[in-house]
Amino acid sequence: MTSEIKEHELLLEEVREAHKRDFAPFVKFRNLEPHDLMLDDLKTALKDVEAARTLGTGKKSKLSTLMKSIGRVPLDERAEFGQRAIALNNQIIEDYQLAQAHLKLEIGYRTLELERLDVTLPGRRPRRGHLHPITLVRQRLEDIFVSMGYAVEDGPEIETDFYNFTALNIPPDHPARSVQDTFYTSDGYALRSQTSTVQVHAMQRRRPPLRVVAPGRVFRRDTPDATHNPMFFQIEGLVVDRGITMAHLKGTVTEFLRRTFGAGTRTRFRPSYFPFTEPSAEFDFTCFKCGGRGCALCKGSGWIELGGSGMVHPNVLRAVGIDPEEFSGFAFGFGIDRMCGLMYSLDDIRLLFENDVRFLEQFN
Amino acid sequence: MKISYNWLRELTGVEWAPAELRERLTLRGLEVEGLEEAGGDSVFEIAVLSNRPDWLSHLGVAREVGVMTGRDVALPTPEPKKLDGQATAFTSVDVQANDLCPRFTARVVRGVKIAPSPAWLAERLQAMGLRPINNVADITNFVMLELGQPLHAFDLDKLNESRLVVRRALADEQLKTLDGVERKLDAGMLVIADAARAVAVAGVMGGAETEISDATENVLIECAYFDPASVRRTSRALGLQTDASDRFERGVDYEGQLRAQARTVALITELAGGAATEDAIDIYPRRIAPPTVSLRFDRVRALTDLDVPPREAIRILDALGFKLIEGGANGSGGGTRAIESSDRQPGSSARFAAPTWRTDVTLEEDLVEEVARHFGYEKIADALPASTNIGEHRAHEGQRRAARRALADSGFDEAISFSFIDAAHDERFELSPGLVAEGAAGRAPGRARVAGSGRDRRRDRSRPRGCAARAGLLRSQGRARSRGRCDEARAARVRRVGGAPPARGAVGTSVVR
Ligand SMILES: [Zn+2]
Repeated sequence: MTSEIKEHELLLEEVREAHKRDFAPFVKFRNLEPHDLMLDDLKTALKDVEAARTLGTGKKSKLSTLMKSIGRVPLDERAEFGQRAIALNNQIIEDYQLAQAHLKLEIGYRTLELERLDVTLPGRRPRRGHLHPITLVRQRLEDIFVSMGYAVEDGPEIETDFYNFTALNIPPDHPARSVQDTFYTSDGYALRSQTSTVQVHAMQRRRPPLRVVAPGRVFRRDTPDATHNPMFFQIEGLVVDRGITMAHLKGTVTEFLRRTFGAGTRTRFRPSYFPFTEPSAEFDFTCFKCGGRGCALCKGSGWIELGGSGMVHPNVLRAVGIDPEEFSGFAFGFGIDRMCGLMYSLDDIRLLFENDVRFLEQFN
Repeated sequence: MKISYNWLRELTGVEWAPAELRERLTLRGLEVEGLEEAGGDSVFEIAVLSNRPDWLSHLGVAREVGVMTGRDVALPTPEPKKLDGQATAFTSVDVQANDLCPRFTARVVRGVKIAPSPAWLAERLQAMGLRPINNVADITNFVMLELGQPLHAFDLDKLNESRLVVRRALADEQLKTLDGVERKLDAGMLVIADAARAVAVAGVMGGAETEISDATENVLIECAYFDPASVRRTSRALGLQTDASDRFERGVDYEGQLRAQARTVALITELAGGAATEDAIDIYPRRIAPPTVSLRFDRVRALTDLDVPPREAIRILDALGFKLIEGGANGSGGGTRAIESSDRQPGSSARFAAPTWRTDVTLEEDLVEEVARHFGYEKIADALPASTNIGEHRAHEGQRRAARRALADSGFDEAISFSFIDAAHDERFELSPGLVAEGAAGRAPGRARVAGSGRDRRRDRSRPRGCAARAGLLRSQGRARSRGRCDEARAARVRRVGGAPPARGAVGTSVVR
């Protein structure tokens, strides 16, 4: 009996180690790390990933043997061992899928760029321009979420009352609906006051299981100051599936913040209130400047407040015809402008939309 | 909301140092934004969540501390020094608008001596950011900060016929409020009046002519529950926001009036002398029933992944003021005490009546949040959901990025500008036919005017997008030019043009050279 146990445990470790070794050359593509490979190198890498995937996950692979061995594991250990084996299997498959997807995407861009260069060269080489910092941050966030299995969604900026308020469980007499807080067009539409509206569109368009992320402009009647603009950018994430919990929410927020601010980043939840989530939480992360010891950026607390989140309110699920007894979901959102301010140490976010060339050319 | 550490300690016996209490409150949802030392006390500045008006009082915050420490909140028992007569012997109340005033209470204290408050009271109010006025007015403010019930003190002898009428304002009715401003009231507003005229804007501010003065001998203490929406409308319409309206418009405890009033008259007899009536007039024709909500204990884990034993869930809810009315210990009612003394395991679900000071509890998920909040969000693990979804960028993201990079390579800086333009430019831009697709609701958002107010007059039009993009660029180019950097005034935007849904979205560029 003892030797039997050792055997399947050994097999699992062997598969894990083999994957670590075989996948090592592709980790940078999976995680969208910077590299200086040329287009041809990327095409070769794509072929290599495909070949490695066939070897590593195909019918004759050790992984396949491992999965078949689950049935022979003694009954009292089978469930637990099976879970670990399935988790490993999923991780390996996801690693390959992401590496392939990212390579394809990048090969696509590069090919387009080459075609463009053929047209414009030879010619006068002008001063190099700059992408807007919001775009830089937004692209980075989108890439991270795509690599985590999210579809990037888009939605209208001019919304009906239903999408901006009613479907988000915001009651008719709620102060957010007042003309002091929300912009309305003369024909009665609202300029969306949060990207949460995309939750509703996304849930109507896709049925669960779904995971989407929606970056975009939102509008609020704020008098501009160093930390407020009447228009700003938010990003909203939404996952709906069976068995989704706040632990998944917290893990997801932690994971994307680690990929953005470094592997040592920790997060914490503080209970909060939003009409469209219940339970609700605001999330903070450990200050990337001082590592949590306390500094001027985090006002000595060691934590930086970033955004709001929670479990999708049952009324929101019902508003789009999803049964909250069968499915649950989480949503989170935060300001891209705010993240931009943090990442580029901006003292005054009004600069973002002034489009002063001297401001814009600082970013790359 | 300013909360005094010493006051909290009196109510709860809490022993944590201020810094530790700050951390614990923040992790339970009472975010402490500031902590200041003042005269032997520490004052917390708490950002009160909009659905928790009960936290606008020391009692409300003390309840949360009580859940953490496991000790009950110890409220002082009101004991008036001297009692004399029935309230109806000195005044009467006629509520003519029960819809806007579901509950109204009045009690009288006769023979008071108005004077400055004793130092302990004046200092405590000052630490809480309030200006001491006189003993009676200060006591009503003190009790509001303690129990969360706004109260108003009238000079009984200045009320025509010594009586009150709660009614809607008459057309063109006027009232000079405590702040000295003559206010014109609208017919829909709720007022407290005497036999002849309005003497207070209900739930917002009292009138100047009936306020407590140095000569006041007999006072009427009013404490009521007003319809939150009505107070909000009135406060907005008058442009008058007060400590009272802040609380009423978010909802006060509709069972807390008599206690707050008893506390007030007891303090008055103690600090200003006089005799309180033995009872209060209490007009409460339709008792408000708190909502009852069921909790299946396994829903806590299903939503939060926290493994909270049912006993602990019940303990938390009980300490927060929820009443167990059904279930819990295999169907036996009788509250937590009964459960604790019983060896039986709790059943799979229980039914609770919400506390009368909670306006935000109607669903099982609300109970799940309360349980999880006090069990501790910090105990929630990090986990990633198993995925069968493949990530995907938006359609045309590749082209968008390529276009941006191509433009940047050609020397353009990417600009992002407001989606509004100055109304002055409105007629200077024309849309190319067919540029704007159908809008959000199946019609062109085109020239929709954004309802404007003075302070954002400069951005009072939602732009036709292509146009506003160009206007924004022209503005920034103008700025660069004016700085003598004409050669570098190239900017580009890459953006969906029109309100079209993504499937029909087009990529447009506006280039200004
Ligand atoms: Zn720091």
